[in-house]
Amino acid sequence: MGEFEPKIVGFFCNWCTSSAADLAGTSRLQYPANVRPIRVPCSGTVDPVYLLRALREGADGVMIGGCHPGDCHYITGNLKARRRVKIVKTILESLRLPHERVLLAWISASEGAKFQRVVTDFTKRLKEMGPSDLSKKWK
Amino acid sequence: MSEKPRIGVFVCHCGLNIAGVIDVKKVAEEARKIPGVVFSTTYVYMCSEPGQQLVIESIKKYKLNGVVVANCSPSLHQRTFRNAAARAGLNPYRVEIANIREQVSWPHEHEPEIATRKAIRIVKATVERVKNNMAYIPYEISINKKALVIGGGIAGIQASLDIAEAGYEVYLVEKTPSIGGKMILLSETFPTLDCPQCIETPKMTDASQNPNIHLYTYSEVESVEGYVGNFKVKIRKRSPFVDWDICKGCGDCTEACPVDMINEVDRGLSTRKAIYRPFDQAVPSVFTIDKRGTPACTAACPIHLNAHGYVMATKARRYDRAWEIVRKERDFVFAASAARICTHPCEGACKRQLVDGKAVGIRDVKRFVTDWEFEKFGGPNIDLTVEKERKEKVAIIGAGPAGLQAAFDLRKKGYKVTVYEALPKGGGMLLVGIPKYRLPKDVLQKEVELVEKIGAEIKYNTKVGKDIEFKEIVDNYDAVFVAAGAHKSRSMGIPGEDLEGIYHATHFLKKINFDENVELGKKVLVVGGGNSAMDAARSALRLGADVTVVYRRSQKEMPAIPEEVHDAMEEGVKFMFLANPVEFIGNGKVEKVKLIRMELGEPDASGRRRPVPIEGSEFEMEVDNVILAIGEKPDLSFLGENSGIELTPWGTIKVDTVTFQTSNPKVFAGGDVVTGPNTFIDAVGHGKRAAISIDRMFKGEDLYKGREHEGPFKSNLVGDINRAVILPRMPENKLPVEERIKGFKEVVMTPKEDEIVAESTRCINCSGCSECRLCEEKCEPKAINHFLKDEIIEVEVGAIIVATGFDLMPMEKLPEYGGGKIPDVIDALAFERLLAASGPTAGVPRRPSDGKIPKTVVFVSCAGSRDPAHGVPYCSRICCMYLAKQAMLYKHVVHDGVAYNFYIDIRSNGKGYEEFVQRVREERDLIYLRGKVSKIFQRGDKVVVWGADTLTGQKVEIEADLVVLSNAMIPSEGTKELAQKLRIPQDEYGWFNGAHLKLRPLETVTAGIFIAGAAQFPKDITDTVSQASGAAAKVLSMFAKPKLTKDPLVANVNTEVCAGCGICKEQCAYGAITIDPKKKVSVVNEALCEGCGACAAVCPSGAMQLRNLNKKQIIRMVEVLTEDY
Repeated sequence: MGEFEPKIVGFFCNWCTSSAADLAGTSRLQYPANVRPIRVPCSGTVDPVYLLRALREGADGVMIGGCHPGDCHYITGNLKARRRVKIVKTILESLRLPHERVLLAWISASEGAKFQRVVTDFTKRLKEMGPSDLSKKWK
Repeated sequence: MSEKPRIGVFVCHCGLNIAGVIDVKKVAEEARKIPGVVFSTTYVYMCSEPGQQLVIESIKKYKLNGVVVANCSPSLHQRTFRNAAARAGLNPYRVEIANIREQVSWPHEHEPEIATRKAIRIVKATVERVKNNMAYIPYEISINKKALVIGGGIAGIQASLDIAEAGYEVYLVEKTPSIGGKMILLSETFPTLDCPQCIETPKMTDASQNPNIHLYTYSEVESVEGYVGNFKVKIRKRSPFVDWDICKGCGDCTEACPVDMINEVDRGLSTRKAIYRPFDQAVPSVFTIDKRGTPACTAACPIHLNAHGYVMATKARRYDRAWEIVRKERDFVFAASAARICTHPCEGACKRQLVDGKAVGIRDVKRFVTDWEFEKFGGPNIDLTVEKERKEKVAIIGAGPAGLQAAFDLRKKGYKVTVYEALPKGGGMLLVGIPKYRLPKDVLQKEVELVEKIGAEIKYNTKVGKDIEFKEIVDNYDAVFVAAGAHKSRSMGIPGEDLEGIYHATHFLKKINFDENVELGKKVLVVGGGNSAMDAARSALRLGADVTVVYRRSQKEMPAIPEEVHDAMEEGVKFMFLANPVEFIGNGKVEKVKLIRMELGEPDASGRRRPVPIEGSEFEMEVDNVILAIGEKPDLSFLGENSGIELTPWGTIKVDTVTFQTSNPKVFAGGDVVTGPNTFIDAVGHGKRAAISIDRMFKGEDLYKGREHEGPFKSNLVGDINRAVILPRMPENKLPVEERIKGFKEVVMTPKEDEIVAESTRCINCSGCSECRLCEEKCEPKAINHFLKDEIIEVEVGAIIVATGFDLMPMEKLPEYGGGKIPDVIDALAFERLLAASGPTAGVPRRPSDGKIPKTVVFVSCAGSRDPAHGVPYCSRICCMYLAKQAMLYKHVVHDGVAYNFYIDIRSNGKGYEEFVQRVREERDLIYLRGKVSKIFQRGDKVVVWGADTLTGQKVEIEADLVVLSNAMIPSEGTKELAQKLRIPQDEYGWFNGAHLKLRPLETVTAGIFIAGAAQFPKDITDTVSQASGAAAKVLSMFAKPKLTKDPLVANVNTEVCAGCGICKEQCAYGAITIDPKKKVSVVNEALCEGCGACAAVCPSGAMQLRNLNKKQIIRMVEVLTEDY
């Protein structure tokens, strides 16, 4: 077995971050293959349960990507996401669980390079943190 | 899916785009192993006709009830394969895309193995999703077959005309007062040299006359709601303060308007009036008043006297109108007194100070105007009409500025007003404290009389607390306003203060003002540094004394107005700074003063440095008299014991800061009794505001509502300080010193007419219109209405075209090219205006600094464009062409002129473009230099351009008369706000993004919203017009359908499970969820639901789900995606 490769589940909104991922690909920007994308209509679609479930199932990190505040295609979905992610992170923190494994990022459709940078940085950070033992703890 | 899953997986090679990285065969093989997958295959181009046929055949052959296509982004071919499935008889919503190109093969080009494993994982997750996809039928929705076009440039005009001519209604909204956009401002258009005025005006007229086009200029989109086919739009029609239905466009109003504004149409190379039509060919051909808010001068005035208005009326030599503004608009009793002694906060706030440090002489203007009034009418002339007699009685204590102004205002409203005054005359501190040489008593008395003339009674020689009890007044009147001022002198608290020959300043000044005899010796010492000290010193001087002012700090810290100190010094008053008396010595009468030297220590609470005595530095001075001018405080003994009026710890009356109501609701107070010694104009302001409160109280109205801006406030409006008239502030017209010190003759005389008119031109018109209202008189059809309000117009449309165009990068962003500081470096649009027959120089280019015809002109390409350092890496696309055109037109007018054109590359890729450039390059004395300009600076009256000629490798220096920059094109102002209102994406530079750069450039990702022209990216007129027609065609093809279809993948409630808690309802941004009052369950309005899923994310019971992306599906995908590769 080689170097530790974190598993990341990504929930990307259809209008901004998924389009940014498409743009990164079209521009042939390279980034680690660790992120496994799920396209959702909006970052506000993401039920906090999905984040916890991903961690329980063995993800080393979960990433939510939405439009910048004020730019949401569904008006305020991203603000709802921000609130929910904050709650999840607060709960994780209070249980002394690594809330750093949950990442919320605003990446607009034109920010292919930002998508590349955020995914690369998050992967690197998770590598430094090492494998998550949450799934073992919870099983 | 209730039946057993029979899923087919189709893996696309996309040539080598996918197959060059991913082992597609392996993906298909692995897919086949997933339970429920009955067939899998690969094909070189799945989106091709044979590829689609393969999908269709397989659906039929294997009786597939679900399809996964692993290929490119779903934004490209999801629809292709859903349509194919439909052709094979499979419900399209059972088809999903696994994006293995943009999100796998391309970003992981160098890791084929990992990419293949990732692709397999994504395909597997998508299969799991499809297993639970249900069949749905799209909704049909109606279309409101009207369009909204935002932006009235050539793009908006063309699109509107195309749609209107097809028979549909269009709302065309334009921010400026006229349609026409940038095109109408150009001199000629390349490459045909057509004149835009000739070719665009017919289109502008057509747009205004087409019955299907509703034109809203000077309007902006306020909000947009709804969805494709059914948008609800609010348009804010800004008030032009002119009734456009009545305005004939004659322009008589502009002749009356004294306000000169920078003409933005001519890029600041000319001026226009505050009431204006942007240009002669404007459509609609009507006038607009440019009002920007309250200017700093008027905002700073405690009574908001319209300083800008009377300054401008004076500029127009309409002193009658200036008088109306000064005296009548705010019922200002003390206008002529104010013209002499006001501390002019207006001038303190005046933004002219940003130009040359000197405010406009607003008080001088007021002086001229009130002197005109006295000359014309023999005294103050105010409107004395009483609105309507009312029964309520008001008592006012104190006939000073606050009391008398309140008395006048309340009497005007019809109340019965009685003023109680202890002295035999009115005027308060203006009467007793201000010497005659500053404020002649006949001027003051005539103004005091106005209050009696309107019918308020003043009971003189009636001291409250002595001649009548305060309680009696409170009991006998419906309201009381206490404005007794601050007349009690403070004491120094040092030995010998009671000696004979020591006066308090107010007492001393009062005696002089009442022409009483004051015994004054030769040597007089005045203690203090405020205005009373100056008044006392200058008065003593006039009585023949040798006067010294002693002040404990230095001149810089003196609270007196600097003009007063200057005048005192000029007249011969001596000053001793940094010293203070410690003892007055004498035998019954003061003979000597012992003083101590001071030095300045740390700043105190007032920000001034605290004076500290220097030990052992005492010295003595012989004096005959001492006048103490160290301040006053209110004397509130008249209130008596148990008055019920609450006081502050500082011995002033406590009032509400908005209403001036005291702790007794029927008693109000204002002026110095509230603030301690303060300015006259603040006291007048208090009087006015207390009068408003009392009036409201009587009428039973809310005392607080809408009074936020009643007191002085700050305004940040600033006129164009870079283009202000250069003129020093006029000197005051003063009596010669020898004349002054002989007696008490008024020092400042009426300003000279020509000087005051010139002074008024120094105003930089921060707020645009001055509301002098001279235009109203000139307007024959009576179209002008200064009180016209903005209107909100609500329209319903099915489609929206955004055509908001571009702006040029501001000069300030180009510091290396002068940054807008060199007058003869201009942008290309300004040069267009100089070349245009309709422009400020009638088509003959003249340089802005001195109006000379430039003989050497340098054109600079790529000023900001193609320059990541300026944040604009893109090419602005049209500059090469218009600079070539401008150079040619310049040579046509200035035959002996020389033009240089610095370029990096020539981009002339349009029909007839390259031929045009070649023609230009062959002109004599028109020199193309390949290279970038590094620096532009002023040398004498020339503008020096440093550049490089990269073809010869030489450094180049050109001394030019004029430099024309092709500033980068940037999205027009307000683009971001509009993008947010419409919820359409912009690129990183702010241009609007089409749904696909190549294939769907005119559609945004939001259905029903289209883009046209330069709002999408810089482009020339040809491309702009083509796009506009294209966008119109998109709208028309939508309108040609009877109904639109809407995605059925919206939120859905399982009513068996729903408890009707309503949490989902709060999350919905569209108001699509209601609670059924009977069944107590949530109901989704599917027409309104946009399918974002915010409701499902919070549903505690899981009753609310997004169709084909429900919780079960997502969790299954999460499970699959977290498996090891």
